[in-house]
Order: sequence, then C-alpha cells, then structure tokens
Amino acid sequence: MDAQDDRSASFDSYFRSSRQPLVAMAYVMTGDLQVAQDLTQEAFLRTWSRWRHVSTYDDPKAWTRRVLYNLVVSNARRDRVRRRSGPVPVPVSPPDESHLMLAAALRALPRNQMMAIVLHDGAGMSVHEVALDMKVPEGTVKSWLSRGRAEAAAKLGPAPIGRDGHAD
Amino acid sequence: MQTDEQEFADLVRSAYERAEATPWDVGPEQIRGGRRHRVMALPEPKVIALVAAAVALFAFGIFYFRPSPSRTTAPPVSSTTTSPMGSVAVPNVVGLMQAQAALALGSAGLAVGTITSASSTTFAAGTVIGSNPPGGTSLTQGTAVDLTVSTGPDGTAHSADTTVPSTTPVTRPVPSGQSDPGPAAPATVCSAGNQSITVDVSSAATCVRTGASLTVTFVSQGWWSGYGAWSSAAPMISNGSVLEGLSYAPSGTSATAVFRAVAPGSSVVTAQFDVGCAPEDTTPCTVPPAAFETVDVTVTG
Repeated sequence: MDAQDDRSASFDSYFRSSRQPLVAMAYVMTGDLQVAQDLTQEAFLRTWSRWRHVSTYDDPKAWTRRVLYNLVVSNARRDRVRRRSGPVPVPVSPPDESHLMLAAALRALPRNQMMAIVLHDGAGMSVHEVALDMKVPEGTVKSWLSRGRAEAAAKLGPAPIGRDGHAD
Repeated sequence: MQTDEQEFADLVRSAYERAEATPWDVGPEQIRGGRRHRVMALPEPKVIALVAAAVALFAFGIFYFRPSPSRTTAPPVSSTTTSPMGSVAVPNVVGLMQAQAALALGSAGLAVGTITSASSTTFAAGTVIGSNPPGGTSLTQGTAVDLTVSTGPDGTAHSADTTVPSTTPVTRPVPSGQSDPGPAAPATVCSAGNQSITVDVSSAATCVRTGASLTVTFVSQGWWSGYGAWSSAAPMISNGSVLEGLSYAPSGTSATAVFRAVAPGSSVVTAQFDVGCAPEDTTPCTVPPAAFETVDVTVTG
C-alpha cells in the first residue's frame, strides 16, 4: 500500500465518521438540509485538497468545521445580496419555518456565541470539550452560551406556544 | 428567561438530531474525485444577480424615459418582465378599472383570482385598490392574482368634493434596487375641521383638512411594519414627534398608518415608512427591498 492509498484510506474513514455531525451542524445554522449538504461537501472538498497537512492535525474535524462555519456565513451573505437584487420573493411555506427562523437567529449572533451553541446544544459536546476546541476557559464558554441563547431566544419572540395563540 | 434559554437549546438540539439522522448518500470517493454531488443544479448566484440587474435596469429605463403626462393620475401598468425561469412579474393594476386589470393580468400570463369589494374615498367605484400578491411580485405563469375592487366611498359612487388636483409635482425618491410601485399620493390641507380620509399611496391627489387624521393605506410588499407622520411644520419626521400610528400587515394586504395635519399652511412633508419584521411574524422574515419607501407629500393650504 503506497502513501497515496494510505492518505485516501485515512480520509475515507475521517469522512465517514464526521459527515453526519458536520451536515447536522450546517443544518442547525442554515435551516435548509439541501444547502447544509452542499456546504458540507464543499468543506470536505477543501479538506481533501489539504489533507496531507490537515490529517496531521490533532483534530482535523475542528479544521473542517471552521471551513464550514465560514462557508455558512459567506453563503448567507451572498444569499442576502441575491435577494436584494432579485424580485421580491414570493412567500412560500418552507419545510420547517420555525427552524429557518432559529437558524437566522443563530447566524445573527456573534461568531463565538453561535459556535458554542452549535457545538454544545447541537452536537452535544460538553462545556469542557467546547472550551478545549475553542481554546478559551470554560467560564467563557458558559457565558457565550447563556448570552447567545438569551439573545437568539429574544429574537424569536414569544415562545412558540404563545405565537400560535394557545394559552399553554 | 431561563425557560427561553432552555427552550432555545432544546430547539437547536432537536434540529441537530433530525439532520444527523437523515442519511446523506455522498461517498468519500466522490469527494476525493472532486465531484460535486448536487440533487438540484443551482445557477451561480452571481449569474442570477447579473441577469436580475440587467432586467431591472432595462425595466427602469423603459419606465423612466417613457413620456409620462399621466404619472400622478393613473398608475402605469408596469411592463411584464419575463424572467428566464418562466415566471412573470405581476403588473401594477392599482387604479385601473377591474376589466382593464383583468386584461393586464391576462396579457401577463396570470389569472384573476378572488375579487373582494371594499369602500374607498379615493378610488372610484369599479377601480382596483390592490392586488394580492402586489405588483412587481414574481409569479409562475398561470398563477391567480386576487384583486380588491372599490365600491366608492361608503359603497356609493365616488364623490369629487374631497378630491382636488395637486398643485405641485410629487416626487418619491426610490432607493436603488427598488422598483417604483407607482406615484405617491399628494395630499392637501384645505381648511380647519376634522375629517378622516383614507389615501392609497399610489392614488391621485387627496385633500385633507387641518387637524384631520390622515390614514394612509398601502399594500405591503412583505412582512413589515410601517409608520409615518404628517406635519405642516417640519419636513423631517425622524424625531417621531408627530407619529400617530403604527401598523403592520402580511404580504399583499393593506396596512395603514395614521398621520395628523397639525396646522394649515404650505410645506413639504416626508412620510417615511420604516421596515421591519412584524412581531407576530412566524414565517422566515425577509424585509423585501420594495418595502422601504419614502413618500414625499406636498401640503398647500
């Protein structure tokens, strides 16, 4: 088995173990599974093109994740520009309205708060793991989580129950 | 607050779990082969933006350079723009007779939907007050457009005594990237008294009395809120001192803002509609470009 095959094999196992979590993270931030898959694929393409280096990192997943965050944010920006220059969009019912709103509220947060929420609340990483990943003290992660959730929850307005007009 | 935060965290978690459980049939070979697997081929956003910009520029050119003696009296039927996707823009039919509006919709490749009647002091009986979706909206061909048709004031024929022609030209600055939905409503303060009147921003001249409440009705272009102020003293309303009303409406329906004429006289008043997402908005909220409008109103007295 030569070096090339070795590299392919290690990438394949990396891809298989991390694709679902990464797609899920992208989905949390975009609210659209199609877009999430496209962006995740792009992130993996970039990972593979630098795999020789990335594979030597302690946590290659953190590298791909960062690429993915950048793609999500720049994609949202491009989307806004497109909306502004195109015709007024006809309101359609998306598959999950409440999640699109949730994703928009998340993306409106400062980057660190959004990342902390996606990793902790979304991917289920512990505060300790998130702190290691983001290279900050645990207290900082906790405050990002709390501030981010409060801010995003406030953006979503009253609780979904109240919005439907039901008392409880 | 605590429950809100917990609720939010739970929503994030459930979205994550939903997506993680959805299988994604892309293999590592496809990534290594550099092949992008797409269920749906999306054109490059840059291309869409360029095409849209070209179409908008062309449409604006036609609109701007056409001879326009009737600009403040009858809103023009906007040119039907056929985009490459087989969708058409809803023509602006506000101010047209119902039959003319139906004709305009038909030639645009759209169908007439439900007709609703409403009384109006500014639109003669039989003319169209609004459409849903509003003019400028992009729709697939064959889609039905609902119309609201005036029955005249209080359901009777239109009386001319509340309407006088404007003496000054009305300008409405249109921010770039926005389509002009039609001429603005000039309003005139005539004498003391109290009278409520409903004005559509795309209608012809309307006279209101000093101290009157001026209710401006406009067709919303999306989820947004609008407010404005009416004052004979200051051309700027940014201080909000004469703000009288606040309203929001779902896309395509009428929203109203109430202004008050505080003194007789002649001055230029700017009513500014500020745009935001309505608090009750449960749909993904986008503020459309055309929703932000500034209406210049000239008051003479």
